Amino acid sequence: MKLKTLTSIAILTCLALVIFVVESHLPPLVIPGLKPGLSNVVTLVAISYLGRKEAFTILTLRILLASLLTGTFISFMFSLVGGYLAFLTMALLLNIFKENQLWVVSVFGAIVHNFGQLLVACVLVENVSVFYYAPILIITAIITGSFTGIAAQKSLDIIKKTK
Amino acid sequence: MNDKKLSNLFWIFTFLIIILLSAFVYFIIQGKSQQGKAVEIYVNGELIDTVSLEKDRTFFINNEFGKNEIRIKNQKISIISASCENKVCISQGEVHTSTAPLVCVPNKLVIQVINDETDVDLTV
Repeated sequence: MKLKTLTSIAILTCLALVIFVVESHLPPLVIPGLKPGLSNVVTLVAISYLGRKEAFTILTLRILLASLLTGTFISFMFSLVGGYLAFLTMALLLNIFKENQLWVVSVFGAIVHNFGQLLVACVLVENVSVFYYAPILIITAIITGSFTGIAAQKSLDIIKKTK
Repeated sequence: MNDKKLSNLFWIFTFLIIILLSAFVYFIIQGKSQQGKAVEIYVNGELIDTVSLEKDRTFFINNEFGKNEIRIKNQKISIISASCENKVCISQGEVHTSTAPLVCVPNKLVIQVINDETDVDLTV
């Protein structure tokens, strides 16, 4: 592994971790437990700038470290299932969409992420009534996904200019 | 108009339609809801009790997963304290319709409002 790649992974993991921890202290949006998913900006930047393998490493490290810092086993399960499903979706969709349509990729990632978390909640409480939240989660995923996607796009533009 | 703009417009349009559909589904569910008569309390997927909403009271649900303090007031039910760490269950506030369940994931607790008052156990 090149030194530059290693440094980039370290910096981006750090950044994702800080964003995640700060975000977990913000008051919830609309429904309890809902977060904008700002650390997804880092995942998107990493996936486009470094590559899938590196982005996966960053995501895994971020989830593990964040759970050690602020979380519980439950929040770890939520992050892991949601995060990996969203990553898989975005990694696949990046083959189809051009790089300048990161926001669409991000929206799909956010929707899948929320469904993953709903699935975890459903399995943990063994009750399907939690799917009542599905319509709200789709709406918020589209809004937060667009936002994080555009933020990642702008960040990438800046990174490419300074290179 | 170039390809990129057209494609972006297509996706904006698609997502707006999905938002509207979701909102529609949500309001349909909401519209069907009415004041519930009782609640079913599930722990780990098992129905442990059915409690009437007609009488105001405060009680605890204790099990191996944790402890939740439940309050019924003015035919509304809420979780007012919990042993879990994230307290999402408390911030769900008061519930009185069968649409949204009160959920405490760490303590594996689900409180579902039901509309019929048959078989209500008042001993809790």
